[in-house]
Amino acid sequence: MKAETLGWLLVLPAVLFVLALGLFPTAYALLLAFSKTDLNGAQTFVGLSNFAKIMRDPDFLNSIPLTFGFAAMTVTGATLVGLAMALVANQQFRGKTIVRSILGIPWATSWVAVGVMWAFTFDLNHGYINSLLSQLGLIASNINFLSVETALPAVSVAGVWLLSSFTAVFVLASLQTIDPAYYEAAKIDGAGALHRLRHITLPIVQPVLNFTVLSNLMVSLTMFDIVYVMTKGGPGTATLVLSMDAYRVFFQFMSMGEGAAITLVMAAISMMVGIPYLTIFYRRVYR
Amino acid sequence: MESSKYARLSTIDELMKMSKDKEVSRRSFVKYAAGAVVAVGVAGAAGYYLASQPAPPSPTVTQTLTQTIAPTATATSAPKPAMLDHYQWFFGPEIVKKTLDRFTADTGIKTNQHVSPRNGYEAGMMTKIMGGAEVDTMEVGIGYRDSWFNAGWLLSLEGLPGVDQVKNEMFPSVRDFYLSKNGELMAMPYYLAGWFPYYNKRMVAELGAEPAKDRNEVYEQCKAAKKKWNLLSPYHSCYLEATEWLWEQYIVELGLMPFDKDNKPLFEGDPRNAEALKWMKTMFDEKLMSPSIFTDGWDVQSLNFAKGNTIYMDTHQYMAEPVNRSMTGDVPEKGNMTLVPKPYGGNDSRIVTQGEWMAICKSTHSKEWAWELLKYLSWKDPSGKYALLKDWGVTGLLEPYPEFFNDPDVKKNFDEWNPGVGFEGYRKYFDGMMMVPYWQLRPWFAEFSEVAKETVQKYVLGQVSLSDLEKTMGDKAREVTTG
Repeated sequence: MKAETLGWLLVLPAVLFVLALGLFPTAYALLLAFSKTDLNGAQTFVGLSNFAKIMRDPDFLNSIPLTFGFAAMTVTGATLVGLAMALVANQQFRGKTIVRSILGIPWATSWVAVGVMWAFTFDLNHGYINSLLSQLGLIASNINFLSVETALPAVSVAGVWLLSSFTAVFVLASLQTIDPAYYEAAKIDGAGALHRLRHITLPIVQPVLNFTVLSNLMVSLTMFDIVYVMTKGGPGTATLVLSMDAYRVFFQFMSMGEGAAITLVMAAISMMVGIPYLTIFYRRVYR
Repeated sequence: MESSKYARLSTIDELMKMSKDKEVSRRSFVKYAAGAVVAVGVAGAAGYYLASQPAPPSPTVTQTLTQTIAPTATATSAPKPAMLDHYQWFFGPEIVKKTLDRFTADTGIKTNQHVSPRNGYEAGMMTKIMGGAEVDTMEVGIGYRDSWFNAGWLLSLEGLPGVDQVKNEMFPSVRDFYLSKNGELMAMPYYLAGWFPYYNKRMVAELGAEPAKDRNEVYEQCKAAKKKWNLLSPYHSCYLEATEWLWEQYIVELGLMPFDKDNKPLFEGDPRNAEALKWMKTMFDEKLMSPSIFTDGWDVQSLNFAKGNTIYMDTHQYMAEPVNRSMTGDVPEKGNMTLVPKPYGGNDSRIVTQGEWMAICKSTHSKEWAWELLKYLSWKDPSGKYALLKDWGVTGLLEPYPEFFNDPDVKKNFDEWNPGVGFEGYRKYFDGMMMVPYWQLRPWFAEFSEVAKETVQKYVLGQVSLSDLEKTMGDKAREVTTG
């Protein structure tokens, strides 16, 4: 057997697996998006009509900036917090092994559980944050963190808590590959902590950060579980991000064509954001 | 051994070399990828063909089981399936399991209980049914039954033995909750609930007041309670899930139905609609409702009542049970959550009935035996006793049968956690103060409901005017009701 054939045979199961899990649902979503599908299975081709309908829906149009806003807050927060956590965990101190083990726990937690936990944390009457602020005498009356104005940032905090853990685990692994000699040499040359961070640490962990940013971006643009559990898209439509809108249109309105059209828009947005990001940053790193 | 090891190494070396020296050409990538796509296509087509073939008949076990299990008074002689699959959400799975086991012991038919979380249950069932899952009996939630029935997913129960008796035994005031426009029984009762009004007995007494008789009195007492105890949410209800249902309850109390029987919206321009909405907005603006009411779930509203943060609440009756019968000893208001004697708003006022259903799915192994199981789950077993319904009574669920209200065990249970009011208080409601919200049962209601929910929330939050609200909801109503 030719080596090239053997190589392809070896990757064939993985290719088939990806195609089955990726290609079929995508093809089915395309079919639904261009059809009117009844629950009884009757399907009629309707061209772009489902897309035209969602484009006229103010809730859908409103959900696009909300989704970008949520993703921007979540990814920025998760990157900064995750990087800070990794830098701290990379120091030599007593109990560092335990701290490093704890780093991954949020990422390993069920997203629904994360939503429930943060809903209670932010609760107006019984939440930990209000209770703490009140006991410290910092607030005169409890704060409604899930109000129209603050619900999206509050949900984003839950997202940051979850995704910063993912960032921290990967960045920590990257930090541990850095030869301490670099830092020693920089110290001898008089470089301060900020200079060492900027000129040694960040360039080395940048490829990993690129990966975590991209991954977190994809997750944030399609985040559903936490929003569903914490606010169900409300109050009003204050947290009706694209994934929530797709869910309610597909499963609650039972308009499968329009629901599928929204998911395709979500996929297109993810690609439009993800592909240039990959192209720019990987070109910068590897060329 | 050695030679094969080296042979493997040699192949790997070659592969490594190939990957270094010779990048995979675009042509070969396209060639192999196309091959893989064709393979997936062929496999998929074969799988689809096989899946679309009629399933082999389920093995019947009549012979062997009748030898080992006592015969029962079941009404069907249809061949027994080996297994019945029951789907439900996560409420009392262990209680249902007991009933399923009893059914198995009586009939010899095994049952498979599938339990999903309540959140997203219907979405999960839709994907399962569309994906061809074998479902015999299932719970069906508000907003889905008629769509699923019209799509043929749920089987009509008409013509099955005992169906007429089931219909006759129901309270006439709630019978329509189970019937189609043509009087056809679409599904059986899982439970019934209503937007019952509750008050805190201790707090109302300390205010020197009587239970409110209308929404204005609720407003006045909430205002007084806020002043007296500095409450954060004197009035509470589950607006996260039910903003639009509560809006419907409020307008129904004023004698206004949101739709007529021909699905025509009636709320536009009606002063009663304006009155109900203004009550909601005033309660919110004056902080007589929790500022977080639109994101508070059922648990938070109950917690508020249990801790004495709330003096008035509209909620389903089973939410009073954990407050009044708490076992934790940490519920200051235990025993104080009391049913208001009559719906707000005068003698003609009504409480909107809600509830959920048990149904037979189109993919059942045996409609006749699924019906037998359904009787255990939502009516009587062959000995004529309520099987599961009594157990539901213990958890605070209500059922549409007067006989259920006469059951001493259920009565004793309700009396325990409704001090001073007892089961009789609920029975009075069923004797003519409940109304079936026919509009909520229509297939278009789920879509209207979502838009109504967010629009009413926006109105209360001050984001849209009353006229904008009526236009948005009226337009949506016409869009969904005219197809």
